[in-house]
Amino acid sequence: MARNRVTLLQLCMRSTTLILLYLLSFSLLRAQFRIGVDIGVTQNYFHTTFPGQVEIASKPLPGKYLTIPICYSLSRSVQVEVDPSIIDKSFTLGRTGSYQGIYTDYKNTYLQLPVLVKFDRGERWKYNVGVGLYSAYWWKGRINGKTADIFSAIPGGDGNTYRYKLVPFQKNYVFDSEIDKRVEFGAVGACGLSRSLNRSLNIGLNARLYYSFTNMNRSNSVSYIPSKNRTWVFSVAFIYSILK
Amino acid sequence: MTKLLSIIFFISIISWSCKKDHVKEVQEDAIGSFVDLFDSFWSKMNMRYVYWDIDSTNWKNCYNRYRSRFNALDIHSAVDQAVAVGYLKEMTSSLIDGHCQINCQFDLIQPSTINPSADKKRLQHDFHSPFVYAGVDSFFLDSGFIFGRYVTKSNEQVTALTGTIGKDIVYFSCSEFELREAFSAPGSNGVKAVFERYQHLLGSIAVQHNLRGLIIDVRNNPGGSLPDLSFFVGQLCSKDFVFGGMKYKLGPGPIDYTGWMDATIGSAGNLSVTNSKIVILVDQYTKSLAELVAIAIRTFPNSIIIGEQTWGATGTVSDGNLYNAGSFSVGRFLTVYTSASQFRTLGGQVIEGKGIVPDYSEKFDQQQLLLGKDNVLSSAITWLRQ
Repeated sequence: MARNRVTLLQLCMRSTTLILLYLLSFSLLRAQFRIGVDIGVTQNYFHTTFPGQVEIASKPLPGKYLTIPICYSLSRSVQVEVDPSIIDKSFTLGRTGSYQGIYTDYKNTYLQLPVLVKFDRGERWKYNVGVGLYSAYWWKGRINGKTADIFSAIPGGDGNTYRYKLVPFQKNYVFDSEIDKRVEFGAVGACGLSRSLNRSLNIGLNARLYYSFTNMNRSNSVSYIPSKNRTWVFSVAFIYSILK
Repeated sequence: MTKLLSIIFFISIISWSCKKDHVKEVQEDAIGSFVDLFDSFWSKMNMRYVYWDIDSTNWKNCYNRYRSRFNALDIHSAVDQAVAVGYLKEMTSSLIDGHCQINCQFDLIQPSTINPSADKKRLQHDFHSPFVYAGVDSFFLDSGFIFGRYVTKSNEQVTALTGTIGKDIVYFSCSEFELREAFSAPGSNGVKAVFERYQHLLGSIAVQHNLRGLIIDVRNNPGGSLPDLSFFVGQLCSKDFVFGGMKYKLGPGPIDYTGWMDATIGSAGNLSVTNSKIVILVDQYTKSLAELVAIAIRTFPNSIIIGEQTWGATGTVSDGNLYNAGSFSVGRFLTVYTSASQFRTLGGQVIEGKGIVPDYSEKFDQQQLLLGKDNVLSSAITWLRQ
């Protein structure tokens, strides 16, 4: 199983490198070259099964997204896009039921490099769809939330339960190379709508889903804790044609 | 055609995101072999034990060393059940958690308990059996002292003793911290009477300057209910105060913590004796909440600790689900009792597994105690009268 996983990662890396090399050589020869800025918001869904934990649920947290899209038109309707980005993949783990009020917000920021093949149709208004692969590096993280102060315990009315005061906490996430897997690989799907403002400038509205294949932590088969990001991005892009 | 393919791929990615992750977890009711039991125990310890950031036990190595050994055992063999208990004892022998205790219930051998910290204590040169001091110390008290008993809701007997020594020192001891429950219980009980008398004597310290101070005796006190910390220590101060730090688990990762947060004691009244001279008496059986009481009172400017080095069980034990850390069970075979949070002193030291080093060390002397002489209590009286 571990061997298969490594093979998949290697495949992703090789594919990304090959696409980049292909793009570079091809665009230098004949393609239209465009560059821009893409700003948006993220909504990250953290997927886990909470092993050993009870009364807990994961919810997405909003985040920010900034990329400098670099596009190469391979033909009238096919283009390849590389999007070096800074992207938040944040989420909250909140306790439910009798532990309601206890929560932890994980605000994680990644440096990300997706490569997409996009297909578009239309004249003044164009719609597009695209697919690709991405790799990302977990750059930094911050944790904050509220937990129960154990020393504030007051017996409840039934004598068997306790009531606690909730106290805030926050810290920068400290990475541990034995536990954290900071490199993430995955697939990306995109769709969008764009319109030419003039001969050189385009404005676009985009929606994307970044689907991670890899876990955020390293673990053996017994301590395996699923922890994968699924990140939606909704953004506005301004793309400028600089070479014909 | 390419456009169609890309749409199909995009839709498949979206639908893929709804698929659940597969996790390999040992189901509790499916433990049918020693290797299942080992996997469940190892992974729960990995997720719920709170000292992995400072414990010297190499838990990953334990996995590699012991999994194959458990795999070779037959869960239906009495001999192998005893061997398994031995392996569990070896694996956990160096854990620093002073609360850690593993109760083993196998059907073909007698139930047994693994207590790593007690095993380590037994090897120390100054190890001794627990001693009940109240019988000796009541002879030091002036006439009119009060000794009382209370049976808790969990059917444990708690005793408490208070009075004055030489009319100028207030003395208080209890066998376990269940004072709040006793005090809140309907009707009268012995511990409630002791505590009311103690509160009255504390009032005397606060207003009468001819009193020398207070002795709080937590020797042979294994701790008790957490609400007693603020209930008991809060009687001594009129304001909330920080006496250390706490660190809690956040998730199943072995070192997934909140970071250090203030450990605070809430005031329980308007009295303040924090500037009075206070001596806390401790021994090697001063454990858990009793250690926290000693540490909290030691933060007052005129307080000292006299006696032996304490047990070293300063983490707190709570409902295992509150922090998703601490105590757990493995099927019907193992019940593991362990801390759910870490404590550190104001100086930033985690003394789990080490205990409090007293300001004045006094050795336990059973011969003298049996003769009615308590050298630890005598030292406390001498210090207060200096």
